[in-house]
Amino acid sequence: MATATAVEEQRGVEKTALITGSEAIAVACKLADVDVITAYPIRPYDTVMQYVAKLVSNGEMDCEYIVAEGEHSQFEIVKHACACGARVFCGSSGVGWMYAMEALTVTPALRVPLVCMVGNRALDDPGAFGVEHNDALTVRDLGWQLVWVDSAQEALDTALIAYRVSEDRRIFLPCAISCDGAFLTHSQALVKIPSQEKVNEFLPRYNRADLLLHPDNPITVAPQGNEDWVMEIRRQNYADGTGFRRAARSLCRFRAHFWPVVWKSLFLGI
Amino acid sequence: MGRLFAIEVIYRGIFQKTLGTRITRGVVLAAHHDGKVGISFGRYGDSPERNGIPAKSFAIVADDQTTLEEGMAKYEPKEVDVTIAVDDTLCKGVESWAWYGLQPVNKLLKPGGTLIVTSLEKPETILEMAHRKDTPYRLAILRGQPSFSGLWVYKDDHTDVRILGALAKILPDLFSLKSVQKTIVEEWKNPVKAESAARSYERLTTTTVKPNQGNPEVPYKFDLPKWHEMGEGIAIPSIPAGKGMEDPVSHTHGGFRPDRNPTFKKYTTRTMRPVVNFDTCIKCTLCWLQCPDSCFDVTPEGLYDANMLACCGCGVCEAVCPVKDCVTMVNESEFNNNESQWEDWRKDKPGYQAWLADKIKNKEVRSHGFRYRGQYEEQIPEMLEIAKQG
Repeated sequence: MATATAVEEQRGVEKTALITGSEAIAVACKLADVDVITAYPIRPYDTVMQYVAKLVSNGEMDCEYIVAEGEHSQFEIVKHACACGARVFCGSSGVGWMYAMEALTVTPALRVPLVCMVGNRALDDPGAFGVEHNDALTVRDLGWQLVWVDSAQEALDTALIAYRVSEDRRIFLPCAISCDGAFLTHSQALVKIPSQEKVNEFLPRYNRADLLLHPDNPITVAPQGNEDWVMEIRRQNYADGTGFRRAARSLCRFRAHFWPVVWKSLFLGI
Repeated sequence: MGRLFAIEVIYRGIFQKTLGTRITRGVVLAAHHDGKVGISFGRYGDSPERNGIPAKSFAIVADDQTTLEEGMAKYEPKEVDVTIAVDDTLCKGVESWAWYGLQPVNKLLKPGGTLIVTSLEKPETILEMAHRKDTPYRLAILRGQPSFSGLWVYKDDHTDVRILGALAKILPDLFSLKSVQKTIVEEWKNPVKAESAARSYERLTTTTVKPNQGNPEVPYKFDLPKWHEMGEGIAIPSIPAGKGMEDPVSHTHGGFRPDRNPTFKKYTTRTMRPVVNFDTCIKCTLCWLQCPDSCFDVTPEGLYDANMLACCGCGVCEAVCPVKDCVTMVNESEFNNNESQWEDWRKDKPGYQAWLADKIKNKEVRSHGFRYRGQYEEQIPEMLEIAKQG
């Protein structure tokens, strides 16, 4: 154990904690200094919501924490906050994710880099207390980055990497981090949490650059188009999406900054 | 492939939720001090919990990460090294949302595994409740009142650390007493509790339960229909309307006994049951009306018999009954069957009255959970007495 501790200190690891994958993601949000988090309770994602709420109310995290009146509003709020330059976090599960579909469909085309957590849940009806991946898979063909994590440690690492990758101007595509309900959201495992200094080195501030919604930046977002123009937009998304895969692979090497964990996530997207 | 350990805690929902989590977290953290990795989780199908319904939490520990990942890739383990029942009435068997039918308390135990029960009862009493198993196992009783908390108030009576200390004795390969004490001091910052863990480690005794020793009852079970056997459209038949009852003495028919769910009975949720005085009942119908689960059967002469297969022990009937000592909630550990009280009364009225008086007079503390401020402080002298006796 002495050797392991020495290695952990060397890599700037702050501590090891027995936490769920959901709490790990909440901790990642805190380390990433997320600006706006919207919430709406649905099991099993709501564990993230609870941990974030606890961090905010304990004064450990400074962000706008908004409990929306439904998942539809929840995802709309973060989409717009992100368009105005805020780093955001959101999440849902199963039928809640379905309820947000109108917002989810348009986010990639708008090049809004949301980072969301999908707590995989079998769709109701009939529902089950267990996992199906149908909820997350609905965004597979829409231009979202879609990644599954295997453990609470991967959940934390992936959340931080997701901000870095999604908020890269070359990419600017939303990322859905899928966590199996029960296995990741409700099981406590040993997780190494990086220090704030390490995370600050890794994550630059979110810069919306030329797409920022601000009076000093006179742009109009999403004017009405015709069918021919829509196809051009889709083709542009596709080109940037393929480019993103190359960029993402090179960025993945940064995870070696933290610890030599084999990261088995799968990136999808057009 | 390294060694994999699985520990389960069977507890009563809400009242013992924090206790269950503390134990399984303590297991993982103590094992981590001995160089192992592990996870702690509540059984997913049990949530959201309800008061008293049997629920489980687990700790899975392994020598290395790969073995752990193999072991944790399921909703719950198929077999465990140790089962911990933190309420002795759970030894009657448990029925929960996550299981079909009545699950014996020792069902998941590996051959030679250990069942730890917190109880003031002797091993013989526990074995009257626990169903027979065809492989041997060991029984360890942690002497003490089963620990019930409230939803927001944790009764910190050291049950959690006493169980961890007992585990160090039972499974020395899992973790040492030293690691348990280190965890207690680091996680809960309480050196007194570290003492309790050591005390429990020293005092622990186990008895061997032979194959087929125990309750001979066959626990009820059923299989869900397969895809080619079930109706379409996620539609299932509903429960039919009920019928009358038959008097065991006069054999007249009358009254009404509702048909109930044949596959989800709920009686293992209760920690106390109502005993009814049919001689003083004034037939006001309030118990029957107010029972949230429609547990009362209407007898041919218009009395109300709480059906012991359906009752989950909420106590509303006792609260609304206007007649003194007509409906009294009594600790579930006083009973060993689900027979109809009305039928017993009909067959032998004086005998029933004697039984009733005995149950009401000698009833154990029937309160579970946190009911009033100062309740736990009041219990301390008695608990210290029990602790002194060892």
